[in-house]
Amino acid sequence: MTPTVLMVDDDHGIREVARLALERVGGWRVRTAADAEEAVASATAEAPDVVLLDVMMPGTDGPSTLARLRALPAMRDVPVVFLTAKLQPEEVTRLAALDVAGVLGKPFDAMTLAADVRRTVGWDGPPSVAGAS
Amino acid sequence: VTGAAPAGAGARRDDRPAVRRDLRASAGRDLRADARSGARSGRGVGIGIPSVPAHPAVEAARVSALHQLDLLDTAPDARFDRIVRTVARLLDAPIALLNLVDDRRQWTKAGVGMPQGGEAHRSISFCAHVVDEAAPLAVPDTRRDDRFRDNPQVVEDGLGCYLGVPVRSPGGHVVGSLCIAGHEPRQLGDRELSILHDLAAWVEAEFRSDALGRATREERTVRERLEVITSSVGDGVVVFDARGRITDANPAALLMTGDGELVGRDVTSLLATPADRAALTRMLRRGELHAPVESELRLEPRGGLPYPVAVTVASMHDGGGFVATARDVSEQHRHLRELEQLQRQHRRILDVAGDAIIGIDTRGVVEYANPAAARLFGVPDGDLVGIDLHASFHHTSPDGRAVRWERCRTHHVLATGTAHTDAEEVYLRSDGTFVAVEYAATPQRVDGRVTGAVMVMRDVTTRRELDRLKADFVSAVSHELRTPLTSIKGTLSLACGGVLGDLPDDVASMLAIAQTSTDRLIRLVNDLLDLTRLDAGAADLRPAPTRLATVVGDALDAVRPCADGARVELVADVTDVTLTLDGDRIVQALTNLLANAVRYSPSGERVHVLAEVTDTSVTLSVREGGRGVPVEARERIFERFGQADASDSRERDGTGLGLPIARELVEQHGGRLWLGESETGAVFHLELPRVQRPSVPDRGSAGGPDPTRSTGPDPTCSTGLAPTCSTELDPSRSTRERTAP
Repeated sequence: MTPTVLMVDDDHGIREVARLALERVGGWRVRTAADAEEAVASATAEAPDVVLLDVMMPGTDGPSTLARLRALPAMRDVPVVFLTAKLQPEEVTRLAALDVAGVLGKPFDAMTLAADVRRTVGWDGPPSVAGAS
Repeated sequence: VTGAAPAGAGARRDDRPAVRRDLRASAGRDLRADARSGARSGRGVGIGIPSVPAHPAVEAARVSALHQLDLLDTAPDARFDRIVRTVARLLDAPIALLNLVDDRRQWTKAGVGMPQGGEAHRSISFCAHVVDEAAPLAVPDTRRDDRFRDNPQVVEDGLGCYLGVPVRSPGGHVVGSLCIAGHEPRQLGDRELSILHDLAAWVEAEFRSDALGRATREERTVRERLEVITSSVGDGVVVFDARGRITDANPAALLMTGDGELVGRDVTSLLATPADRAALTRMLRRGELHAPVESELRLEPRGGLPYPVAVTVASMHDGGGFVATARDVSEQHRHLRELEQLQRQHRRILDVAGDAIIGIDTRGVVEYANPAAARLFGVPDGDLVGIDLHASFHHTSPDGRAVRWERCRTHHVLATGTAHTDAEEVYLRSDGTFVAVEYAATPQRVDGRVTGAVMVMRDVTTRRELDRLKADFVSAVSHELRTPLTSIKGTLSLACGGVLGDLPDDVASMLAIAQTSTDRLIRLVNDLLDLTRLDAGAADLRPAPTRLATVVGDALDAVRPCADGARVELVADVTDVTLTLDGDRIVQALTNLLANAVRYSPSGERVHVLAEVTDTSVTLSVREGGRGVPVEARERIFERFGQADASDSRERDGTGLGLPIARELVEQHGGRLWLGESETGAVFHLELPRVQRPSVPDRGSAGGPDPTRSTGPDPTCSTGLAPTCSTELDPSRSTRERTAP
């Protein structure tokens, strides 16, 4: 089965790079959203298998978007991975403590992004200890 | 004088043994009690009727006066021998004596017919009657007199008659008797009495002469002693009469006034101003009534400047004038001025200090507080003194709980005498709001006893705000720079990875250059952000017990991909001990060292990690296989962008910030990082104390370098496009990144 990923980021360039990386390197189906509204709309229309969620977005930020997605019944158990450029230890600890599979940093490596996500959500084997520390 | 009786005679030359026997027999008993009982029973006790001394206090004064004469038990004195000889001759008496009577005996100072130095017990002494009655005693016939009939001197020694007159000390006490005696009864009339009186007066004149001689000698001794004292003391001493004319002055007075001679001068002329002279006059007036008066006057020495002296004036006992002592107190005045100046300076420093400075006593009550302290607590300057600081401004914590004095850190400082500093302590202000302060309390001791404490407080609200702004700035920059870099890196990565289709060789090679440069830029951004956070002051160290093997292992893991790529072997030989440190930070520092070593080691070489463990420290050594560091660059490499060779940076792809960051991290742990000597390649030593004592704990800082920055696999080592591992390994890889592999 080809996994579907919902890529949520307000930066067009990053959305496009991620789409290419996940489609062409990972062979995934990629849908993108530029903000919380689009993300909720997209997930409502069709629940993805995994969500890559930016943290710093104008208006509704990553954690708030996460809450709105989790409010959707279909999204209750879908793994979410934060993709963030804010990497201060306090910040990462705060994010990892939320209801997510893990936190990945920017800039990411486009060639390994799909594999990194797989590992983070535990598709390659036993679930990672993401968020546990 | 009792009536005359026929004179009797009878030599008594050998009476002393009998008297001595009697003295021995009554030793230890109250002779007076014996005497009185004898008096009551009349005859039968064998001593007749003894005389009774006067009231004990009077008798004690009399005996004391006798002792002052210093004649008892002394050698014969020709003057007194002459007198008794004259008595014997004039009165034609076989016995003539000068007897002194003390509390228990009579003692013969001079005698005719009986030896000088002889003595008899007071109870059988005829002379004791003269002394006790303070009147002459005439006994013309002892055998017919009830008082003496049984007296051993009569019964055994054959004393027939006696006539004695009192002899007085210069003070008027009767100390003995001048007397005559014979063996037969004898007529004793006014002639005999009058002669004895005259000669007793002669004896008394000799007594007075002796006393005068003694007094003169004593006075001379006292005067000499006084002269020695006054001439050797540092204080000036002048004696002057009631009109102020100086009659005597000691050498110190001459020195102090600069005069060769003071005698004859007016004492007020030594003083500097009319006010001083008036003050002295007032002192003299008081000095006449009371002893001694002290005051401070100004002395004007000859040819010199006036200076202050502490003067004591006392009136002479004979009322003839005054004695004044003067001590130079200009030195004390200078000290006092210096002290005042020092106090003014201290006061000024306290006043202008930006920090609140508060002195408290052992109960926590404010003894002094500077204006900054008043501003901090929002009270008028001066209002803090006298209040209980804890009870007024520290009784409640921000969460509303009461803070007991016994739990207050200040109380602890006072109770234990140990200083305490705290980066963050919260106090109340007078308006009820809270203020965050940096707090230091140092106990004050006098002779080892804690007498209070000095507290220094700084309002850190503004700094906290600045720290927060800085943290926000770093956070924003980190986002704003990384977002476009993410797109660039991703695009280049995909293009170089062939995802976007085959590229002409020249395009691919140009894109590879762009990709390498982008990775370099990303690392640079990361390092710069790290440094910014380090500079923000003291990383947020989180020391915890950490195994050395784990630290080394994590660092090795972080550089291994890069080392493999460069075909450099990593070798570690490390004793496992547990240290208290912030593991992530030390892993980062060690990783930086290892990445640096790998970068400068030729292919096929080894990088060694060794550990040397002592009781107090652990030293990790990283030995590289490269060409070493030129002498002139040994310190520069620890400076930012201070690579040994400018070209290295491009060739080797370091940012020039790895070593400075590593050193900063190690120093924050109280450790050291330095480049050691080695014949083959460079050796870096990283020394850490076994127990962490962070020098500047600061909870409010922006935090340390970002250990979770690299949340994915190494960004460039894994591209596979770079011909060699051109990357500096992400220096921030750490255990904490496991949160997001």
